[in-house]
Amino acid sequence: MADMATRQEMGLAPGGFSRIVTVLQSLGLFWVLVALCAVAVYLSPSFFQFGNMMNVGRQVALFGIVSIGMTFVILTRGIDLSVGSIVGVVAVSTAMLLSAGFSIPVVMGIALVLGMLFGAFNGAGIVLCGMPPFIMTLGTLVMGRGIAMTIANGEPQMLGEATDAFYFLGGGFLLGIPVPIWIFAFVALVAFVVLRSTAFGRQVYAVGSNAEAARLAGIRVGAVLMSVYVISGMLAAVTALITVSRLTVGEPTAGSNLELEAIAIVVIGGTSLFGGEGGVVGTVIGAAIIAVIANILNLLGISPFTQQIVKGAIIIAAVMFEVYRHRQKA
Amino acid sequence: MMAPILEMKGIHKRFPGVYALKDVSFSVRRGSVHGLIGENGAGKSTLMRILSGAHRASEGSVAIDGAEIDNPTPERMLELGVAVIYQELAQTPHLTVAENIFLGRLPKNALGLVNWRKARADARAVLQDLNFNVNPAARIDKLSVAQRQMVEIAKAISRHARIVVLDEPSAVLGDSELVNLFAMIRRLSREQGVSFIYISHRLKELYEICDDVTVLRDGQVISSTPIAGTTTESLIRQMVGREMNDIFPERGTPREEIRLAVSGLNRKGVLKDISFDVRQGEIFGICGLAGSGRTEVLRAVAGADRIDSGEIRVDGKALSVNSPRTALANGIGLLPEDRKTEGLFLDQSVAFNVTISSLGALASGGFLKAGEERAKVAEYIRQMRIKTPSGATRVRTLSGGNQQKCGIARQLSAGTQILLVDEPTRGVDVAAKREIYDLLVRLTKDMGAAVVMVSSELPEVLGLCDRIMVMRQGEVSAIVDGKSASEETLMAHAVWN
Repeated sequence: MADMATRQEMGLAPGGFSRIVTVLQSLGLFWVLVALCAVAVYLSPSFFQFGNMMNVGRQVALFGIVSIGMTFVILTRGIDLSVGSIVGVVAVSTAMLLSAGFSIPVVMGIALVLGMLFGAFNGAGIVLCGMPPFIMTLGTLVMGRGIAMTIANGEPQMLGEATDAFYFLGGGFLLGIPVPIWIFAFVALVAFVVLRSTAFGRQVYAVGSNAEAARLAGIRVGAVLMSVYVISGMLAAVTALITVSRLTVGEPTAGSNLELEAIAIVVIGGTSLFGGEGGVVGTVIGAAIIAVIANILNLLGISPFTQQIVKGAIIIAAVMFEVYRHRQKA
Repeated sequence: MMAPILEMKGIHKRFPGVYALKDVSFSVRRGSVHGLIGENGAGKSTLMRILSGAHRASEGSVAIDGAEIDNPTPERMLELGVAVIYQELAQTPHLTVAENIFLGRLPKNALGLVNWRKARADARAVLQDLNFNVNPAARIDKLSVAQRQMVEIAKAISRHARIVVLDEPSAVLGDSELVNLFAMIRRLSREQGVSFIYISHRLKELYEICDDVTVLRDGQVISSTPIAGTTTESLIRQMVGREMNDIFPERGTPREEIRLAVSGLNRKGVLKDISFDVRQGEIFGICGLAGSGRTEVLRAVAGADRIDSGEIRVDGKALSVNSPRTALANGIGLLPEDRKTEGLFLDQSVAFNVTISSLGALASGGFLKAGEERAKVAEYIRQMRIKTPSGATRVRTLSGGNQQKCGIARQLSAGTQILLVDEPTRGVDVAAKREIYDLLVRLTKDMGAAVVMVSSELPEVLGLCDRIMVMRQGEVSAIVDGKSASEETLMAHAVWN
């Protein structure tokens, strides 16, 4: 206890596990998730069955990875609408390269670089030309989907001989748990550490809190912005690899509307659209909340159309809460 | 004798955990100018928020023109003629001056559409009547802070305000603008019977403009009297509750070594051929009227603005300063004029704000050493007497003086050797001012740093600076010795040659 008190007094609040717990509690989100799980179990005892949990986990992973990239971007007070299209381009490129006989590690490398290049394109427009992130990434969203359609000729791309060997990434298991969940856990952990404990992480928050003050404080604002869009593009590419592997096909429509899911998850996770506030823990819980709600609706046999209505209402409620909080603060 | 225009009686205000006002009674005579002073946190703002209807008093009554108000909402108080002009103005930046003045009550024509011609003509009439030189068609965001303040006053007057509260107008106005403002206040109070409540940290002004003065301390009224019977010393004593004979600390003597040499600095339309040098241990003042280029000189040296030509040398070495980053790397740091929009990250912690410019030194392999950071921040909090519950507290919640200290701590932490400070004591109470003066002097005396200070408070410039550069219309008008200069000589250089 005494140690806690001095830690708090000295500066950055408690460390380690107790820190994570305080973060969760302060978000209040964790309890929302717990309550949702309780509701799910009440409605359908099969919720906690291993198979169902793994399905939920897969969905959390798929949306969560992109959402973590989006978290970086939104922390700088930006937005990245292009992630869904990047998934599309990378998905068809991956499939075509694999069927052309390139080795899996090479293809994965190319896929990541491709995603990063798209991010760099967004970053260049925003940093060098002063484009508003919303417009720049909207342009990339439209263009990206067009590129995916063009190179795939509008058709799903098969993987050829690599299909089975590549399946591990999206469909395989490691220690009984689906591989995508491991990848998500790894990405989330790295992102958490980067934002919490590196100079770069601090600079991300600084740029989002007050870009001019950040510039005057000696931060390379342009470089920070460029980096977050590159990170976002790269994580979109990771998502594309998992999707292609699991579906054993590269579809040019892959990742459609993913940007909206990701933004919703980040906002539900408590990261402020006004920049400089929030983080990865909230995003992980946000992804879980969205996935559990979808799962509950599925277990209840509610139609996908109605599910969309529910999801939209949740997004509006989350943003309302965020705006309310922001107002209280000012 | 007539009833006072405003009478606030037995006002108590309790916030969760804070007893902000204790039995405050405050009355303002019709057509008078009433100074309201006190340190930050003394309760001035809370009292004015109760007057404007923004806060509800826990106990007590407010009467205007002898009639007690039972339901003081912001709309009701506005209707009754109370106008509060805050330091941070609540304006709509993309609208024109005329639109701002008549916001919500623009004149309409027969079709129910806005009659723009009439709106502009009416606005022009109001502005001319006040002797304000502002174009009614100009957009608010193109105006200077001083002009915006004038627009806000014009708006109040056009709404037939009877009680106008001015919250530290001089903090954002230059001297000549202040002269205009005072002339306007006198005219409105004498000819039209408008009463003013004038909040300021600059006591000298109060003697120029006020009839009465009320001192608040710790949420209580210490005195409320005609200003004629008071002295600056007595007011300061009442504000801080102790003697402050000498607000300026003992200075050291600057050495011979030149740390910063600026020569031939030019920026088209803003700065013309600026040259000066600053020695080790020196506090070098820059003054001049608002718009004379004072701030721009600092920003140019700090790499915040581009320059067209000129040379900046630190310790004899010529630098190409093209960004704040390179300036900082060479030991030049800027404490900007507006700490809230350019200086601090208000929603981040004290620790975050202090270490943001020195993360490189606190990191190994990109990872921050948390323990080292905590220790460093705790050390600055202690050393600079930053009043904060902890290093994790949001900077937004601190008082102005403590916010400013966080800004200075950031510079020290970044190893700044040439500190450029722009209006370091704006919006800061007397006690905190003194602490900031102490800090600046300590920096020069004990740490061999050089300080360049821009300030529109002449007593502060004279009290602290070894030499003072006076600027006029983007040029150096004179560089004078701080000990022999007087406010009159500085003003003379600022206005003409």
